[in-house]
Amino acid sequence: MNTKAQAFTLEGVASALILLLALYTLYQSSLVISPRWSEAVNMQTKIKAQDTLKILDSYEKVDGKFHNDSLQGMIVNLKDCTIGVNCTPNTEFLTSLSIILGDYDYRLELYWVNNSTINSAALVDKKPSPNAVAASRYVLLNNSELRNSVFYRGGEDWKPMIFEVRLILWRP
Amino acid sequence: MILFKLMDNAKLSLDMLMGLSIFLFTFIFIASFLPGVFADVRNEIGLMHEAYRMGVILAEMEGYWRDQSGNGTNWHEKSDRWYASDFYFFPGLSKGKADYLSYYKIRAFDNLTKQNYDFVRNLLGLKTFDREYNFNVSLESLDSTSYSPVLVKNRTGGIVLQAGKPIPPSAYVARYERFVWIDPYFDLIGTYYIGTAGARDLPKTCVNLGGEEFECDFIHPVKLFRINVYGKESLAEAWWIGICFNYLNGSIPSCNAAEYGDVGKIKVDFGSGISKNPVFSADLVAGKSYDLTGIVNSMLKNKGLRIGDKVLLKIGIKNTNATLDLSDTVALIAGKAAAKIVIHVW
Repeated sequence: MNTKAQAFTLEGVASALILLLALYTLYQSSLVISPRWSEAVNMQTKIKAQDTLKILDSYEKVDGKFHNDSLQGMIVNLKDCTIGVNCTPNTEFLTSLSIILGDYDYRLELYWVNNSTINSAALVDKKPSPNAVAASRYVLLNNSELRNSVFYRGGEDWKPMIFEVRLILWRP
Repeated sequence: MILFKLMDNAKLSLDMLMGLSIFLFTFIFIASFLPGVFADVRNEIGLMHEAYRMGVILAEMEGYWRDQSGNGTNWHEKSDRWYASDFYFFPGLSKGKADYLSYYKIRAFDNLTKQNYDFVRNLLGLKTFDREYNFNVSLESLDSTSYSPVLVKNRTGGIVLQAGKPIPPSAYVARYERFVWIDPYFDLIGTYYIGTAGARDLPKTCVNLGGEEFECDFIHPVKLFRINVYGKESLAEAWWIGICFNYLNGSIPSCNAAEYGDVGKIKVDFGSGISKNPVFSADLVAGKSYDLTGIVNSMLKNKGLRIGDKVLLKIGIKNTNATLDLSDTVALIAGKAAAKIVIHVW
């Protein structure tokens, strides 16, 4: 054993590296918060999702019928959603949605209340990426307007029904 | 007398000094470098806030005006007072709901910005005592991109909104988009009389072949292609509408929807005429509108046509009162003329 108390090469370099590592960890954890704030990055996508639902939300009727590519027209044309499967929006609705969203990828969900239970269905069932954002829009329809859809409840024409359409958007 | 005695133990070696020096040098470098490393990104985020704010002002606010005579939101109708010292106004484009824009306010904003860019910058808060931003605003088609912009045009071919400074080719520029719909939209969409009962009013790229046919050059894809049928010209006679597309170097000798004895129909097909099995066929009903936008675009896409390709269109029409709604920039979605406001700030 050497009694001269010298620091050797290995100890010197190792101590410098340990100190650098400690410094790096410190900066990463608390001192520097990256300004690439996720909300700022996703803000544009979220606004686009909200705008899309606003455009599609149209209560206008032609010849007593909603536009097929509106949220209302899409819901009243759903024929088979009772257990949350086989819910497929009509082609016109999907075409209009793709015209607005262009190269964005999306998932579309529908929520409604039936006998005090909340039901849901994935109308377009794709798996969102981690950076996906969601926007939703509520649509109120009279039971009489749902006559040709799966949501019609006989004898309850006075009772309106509320749907939540949820659009989840992300860049593929 | 003090004696200094050199000791040969407890020395620091050169290696230790080197290690310490490396550490200190790195530490000082990182400490001085880090504050500036995100400066550019911070600048970009600052611009994004301004672009977002401008998007909210234009797409969600109605705007207002106020003077001694009263107040209101129809600032676009007060152009003679815009620069008066006792007149206060703010240029929002909405009609009371977010994203629901007034065509007339859009046009007024375009005129105002072109007349006095600095004045608009002040109104929008983009020019203050310590900060100054430039902007460019345009109304673009939904499929418009930064590398291939498609500006919305009105029925006479004029650009509806493109105002502000030219976008610099190299600088930090924040781009922000808002999907909107415009009302009224009759100025944005060409409505042409194509019937047989009166004089035809055709799009600029069309040639009237006389009698029952006309031919056009047509750019794929179209945003709106809708035939509105009002009824027969003469109740006793047969009626039909044939819509034929072909490649630009091809030809369409005739577009007769009744070639196979099938009258009372509207048919769409691709090739030299209407075949036995057309792409689309439906009964003609008086008072009905036939939105063929999706059918036409998917048919042309299936035929290998790409965006921007020209195609030949011939319409044959017999004994029918009808108009054609046509737009290559504005899409009709859920009954609304949809486009997007694109904002650049730098």
